[in-house]
Amino acid sequence: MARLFQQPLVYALLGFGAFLGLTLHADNFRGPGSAPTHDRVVISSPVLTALYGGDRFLAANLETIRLSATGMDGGRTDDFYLLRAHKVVSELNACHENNYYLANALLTWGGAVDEGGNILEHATLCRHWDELPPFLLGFNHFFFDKNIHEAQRWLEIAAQRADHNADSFRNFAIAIEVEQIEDEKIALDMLKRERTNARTARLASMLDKRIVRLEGLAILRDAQRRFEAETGKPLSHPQELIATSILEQFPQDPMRLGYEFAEGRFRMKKVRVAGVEER
Amino acid sequence: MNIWKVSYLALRVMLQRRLLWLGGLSLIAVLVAASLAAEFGGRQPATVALDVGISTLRVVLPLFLVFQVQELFSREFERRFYQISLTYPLSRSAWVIGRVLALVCLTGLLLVLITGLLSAEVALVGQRFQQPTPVSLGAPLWLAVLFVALDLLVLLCLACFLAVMATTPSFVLIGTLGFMLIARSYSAMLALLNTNHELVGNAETYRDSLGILGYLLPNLGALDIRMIALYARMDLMPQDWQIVVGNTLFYALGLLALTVWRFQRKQFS
Repeated sequence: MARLFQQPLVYALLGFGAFLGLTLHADNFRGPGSAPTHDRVVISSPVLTALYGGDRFLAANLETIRLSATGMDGGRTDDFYLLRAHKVVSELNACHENNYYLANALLTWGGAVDEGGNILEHATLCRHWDELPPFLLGFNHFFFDKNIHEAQRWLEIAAQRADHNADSFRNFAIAIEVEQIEDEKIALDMLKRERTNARTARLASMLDKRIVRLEGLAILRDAQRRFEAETGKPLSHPQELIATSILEQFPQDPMRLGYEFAEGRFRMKKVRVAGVEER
Repeated sequence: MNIWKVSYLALRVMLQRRLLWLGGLSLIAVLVAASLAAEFGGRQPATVALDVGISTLRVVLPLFLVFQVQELFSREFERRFYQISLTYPLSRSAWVIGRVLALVCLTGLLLVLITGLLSAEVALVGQRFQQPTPVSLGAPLWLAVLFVALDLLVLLCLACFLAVMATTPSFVLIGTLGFMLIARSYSAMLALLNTNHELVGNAETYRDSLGILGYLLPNLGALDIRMIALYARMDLMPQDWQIVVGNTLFYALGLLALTVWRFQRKQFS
């Protein structure tokens, strides 16, 4: 027995055995304050740069792969983690296309409009040739913030960068302003002014269609006013305008969206996409 | 015996040893990393593949370089081969410069080979998905790789200097990689600290202290101009690139001269 304890291997086995035993029973020694945390680690960009050997591009790529692979679980996004992770990638390489695109999808449409907007702004500055980040910014300002002037500013930047979509972006920028104007006559005047100033024939053609569409709305609302003045009762169904010969036929919308009669008045129909309903 | 003969002999020494194995391993590492990255490329698989490919290139080639310097310098001292090589009618400066030239040629060839195959792989990836912003595999890529070559030249000269100075080969590896890490990251860290004030207390002093490194080390981070190839935009080239290139070349020249000076005074036991 005494000879056994002279063997170094015995002490090695004892040492590793004790190590394993303590590790297995480590949970019993943990106090109530050492509960596991549930937050994800996001390392700041200067430290990440050092960790990736001074290669901020590699750091941006791997962090984007990480956030796209692990930022969603069971259809739910880990918002607090994604907010920080997208920001760090944006600092490392603001031009990273996947980062700004995912940030727009996951942050902006997930409710963090300002944070998603910051990343898109950085991408717009870095990718000074790309029309998509300013277009997304413009759309978000219109859709989420109802800030028409800011939306138009970003849409104009997008139009200046675009080859084929410039007219569409400008058309959209004009349309969102026109649609905010309740009085169709004032809106029509504004639209005609924009038509006169149109820089290309394609934009002029797009605005011509909008003018005809708006004129159609003006005809319908005029007819409704005449009907209500003549009969002394509110219009309850559009067909009454035909029945009383105030209108011979309903105006045609060249944009093929048409008009609707809701809550006692005519208005232009809008494209409705599931999940993208106007707020 | 002249410098060219020394270079030729040094190339033969490297070819006889682990060169093909290390070069092949570097090539495979770059191509595999780029290919895997492309799978996670999302809207820009070719850009991510090229980006990660260049990153891997910038990691594996310094390692390749250090191992070759260990072969040509440290092992020669360790095994006392210099007792034969220095008996030829040859100056000590030619002994060093010949070896450096051999390493420049060899690393340059490997760099060209890896870049060629990487660009072929990225072109294949690009055919699978048409990106809104395509990569440029022409002149911008080769210009970016030329800047990587400058980065490697500084590391090569430093590795040679350390090999002449040090008594153990592992110091060459640790010293060169440590220098590489600091020289490549300090300028990016300085820029990022401007937007991360909360990271360190008294960020201004921290930035000033870190800025002193600019007077001691070349800014290897500024030699990373891959964005011109990633986004095919030459206007993403840094405006002060001439200063950066000049600084790097003069620093490499200084290190090389220091290596020759130290080797001329080296006492062999």
